[in-house]
Amino acid sequence: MTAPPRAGRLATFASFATFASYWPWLTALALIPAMAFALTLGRYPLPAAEVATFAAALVGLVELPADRFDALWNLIVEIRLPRVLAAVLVGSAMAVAGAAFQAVFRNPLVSPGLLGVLGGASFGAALGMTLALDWPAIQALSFVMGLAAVGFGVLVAALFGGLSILMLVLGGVISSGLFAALLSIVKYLADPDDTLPTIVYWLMGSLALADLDQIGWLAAPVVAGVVCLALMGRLLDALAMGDDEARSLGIPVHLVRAAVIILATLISALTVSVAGMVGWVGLIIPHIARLLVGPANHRLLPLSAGLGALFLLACDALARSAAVTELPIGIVTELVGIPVFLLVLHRVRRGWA
Amino acid sequence: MTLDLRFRAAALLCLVSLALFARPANVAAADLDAPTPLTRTVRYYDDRELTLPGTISRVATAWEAQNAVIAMLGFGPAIVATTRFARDMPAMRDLIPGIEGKPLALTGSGDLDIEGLLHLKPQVLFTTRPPPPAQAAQLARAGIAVATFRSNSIAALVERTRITGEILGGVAVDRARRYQARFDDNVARVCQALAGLPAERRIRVYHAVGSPLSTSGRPSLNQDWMDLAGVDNVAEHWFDSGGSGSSRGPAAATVSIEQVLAADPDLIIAMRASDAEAIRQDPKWRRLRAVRDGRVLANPRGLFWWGRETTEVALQFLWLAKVAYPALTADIDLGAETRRFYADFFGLDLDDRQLNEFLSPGS
Repeated sequence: MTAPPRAGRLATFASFATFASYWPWLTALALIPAMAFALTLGRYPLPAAEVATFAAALVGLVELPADRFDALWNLIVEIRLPRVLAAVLVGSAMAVAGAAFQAVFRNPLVSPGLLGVLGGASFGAALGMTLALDWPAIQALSFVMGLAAVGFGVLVAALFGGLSILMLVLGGVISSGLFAALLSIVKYLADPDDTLPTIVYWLMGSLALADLDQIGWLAAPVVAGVVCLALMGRLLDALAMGDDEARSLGIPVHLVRAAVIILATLISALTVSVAGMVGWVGLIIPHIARLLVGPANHRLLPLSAGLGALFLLACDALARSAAVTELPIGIVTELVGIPVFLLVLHRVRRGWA
Repeated sequence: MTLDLRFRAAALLCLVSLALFARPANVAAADLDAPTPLTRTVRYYDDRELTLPGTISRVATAWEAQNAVIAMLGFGPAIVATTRFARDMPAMRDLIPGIEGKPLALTGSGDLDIEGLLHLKPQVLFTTRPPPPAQAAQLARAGIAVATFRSNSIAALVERTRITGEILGGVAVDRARRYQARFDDNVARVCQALAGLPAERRIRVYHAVGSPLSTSGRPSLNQDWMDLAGVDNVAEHWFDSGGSGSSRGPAAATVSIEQVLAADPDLIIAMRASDAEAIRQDPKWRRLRAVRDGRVLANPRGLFWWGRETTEVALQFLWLAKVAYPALTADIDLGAETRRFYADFFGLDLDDRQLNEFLSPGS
């Protein structure tokens, strides 16, 4: 009589495993209609059918008067598309970087900012604004400082006791602290009537500054980074068993860890330099993904990328169409993210208790 | 626990003794340069009262636009502590030699530089909002009168000019009175010129203040000068919130480009010339009628941007009416009016280059 329940349980497990393996693909597929829907949202009153007509005109199915076509091009391609693409790129990059960091550091409370990349990038951007540089230069400085902060954190770890996980975390804490202080100094020196509000606004995150050119050069490295990280899931799964076990499988532990940290840092710094500080995505999305497919990184990482993109797409849609005033996206991700996180905690507390 | 308590007690003792030793020193320093015994009291807004020395020779301002008001009232040379923009404005440097070297009344974090002010000993300090109680007490002990005013409306600005005149005393009282007359005269002239303007021909304006997508609605100073110039502010009701009345915050915020696109204004005014240029260049803005018609203008700027809390606002609505309705305002010679205003109230004789820089600022 004991056989049927066991078989049932096994069957449930098998169906869960099969279903779980579909999740990343389902999410990736859902992105296409979600992006199309996001293109119909905004403060300009434009019926959704117009977007469809425009799409048809683009592929030559319908003829539109030149002026009408140009107006739609302006609204849909020049104004809405950059934000939609930026949301997808930034969301997937932050989420997959977060999931990768959580795997490498074997800690579910870790986010991509652990090694100081967010603090460094914020300082770089604020410094650029105070020096009145133009936008590309500000973004470049932000990117470079993000990398510099991580470099500093890793250097501290290397100087004191090698690159163990604990020393890396401590190095990150020190680096984050240093760059937070530097940011405070820049804010203190910034003009309170002019530059300071710009810095504060930037620190709350916004996708409004993205334009198509920028998305163009951002897309290639971010997509490459996200795909590489997503494909490294199996290596991270091996690492999760412990360094010695992983080594016995022939996996170069230090190399994998370094590669993951470098990739995650690069894409985090890139996205922060474009969108400012967008918090929570890197922390909560991996948890939601874990709830759906379990802890296996080879599923968790691709799913995190897809869910992160969907999440930020939804947050940006809210930010740009909820009110007359443009809400900073960092505020929306936090306001939306906290209840979601509470829900996740409620579901998983048994596992952690 | 005991150790912690003992430590705290020791720290408290240190602080108390510091305060005790520091206080007499301050009082003594203040006594040495004690102002003339003759004092006067200025009362305003029903609830505010300042006790001031008979004559004012040292003033400080933590309020950018108040520099221009003080300068207009003849007390520019009396400024001992000022603000960042004022030090950098070319016209201000011409008007008040040495202003670029004056210390700032505010620290980088936007707080009053209390020690700096105690050292400089202005007789009156102008600020946008009352300092926190601790700082207010420190300033009061040092004998520095702190003047705060209502803001963000044109009526408040004209009233503030009159009150500032009374606070500064001497020639300032009469200058403020003459200013009121000129302001009223300009209002009357624009009103008269636009008397026959039908509602459907009113020009619709978008106003960028601070960044291309920051704007303001009603109530605001910007709305007031747009009202006086006979134009409609497209953002007038954007920030209305369910009629909660005066309790809501300022009617200004960052908006979405789509909001501006849907409004499609006839004319765009950017406070900063750099924002006007950004609007002209950005492909996101290119479909707007004002951009296609070349109707994106940088706001004139003299000692300060004319549309902000400066007395030069008396020229702002004159300029805007002129730009919006050139045919109706053909009788008004803006160049001559500008020259006359700066000559009468600031003693500045503008040459052609300066006039052009005021009316079409390049940066």
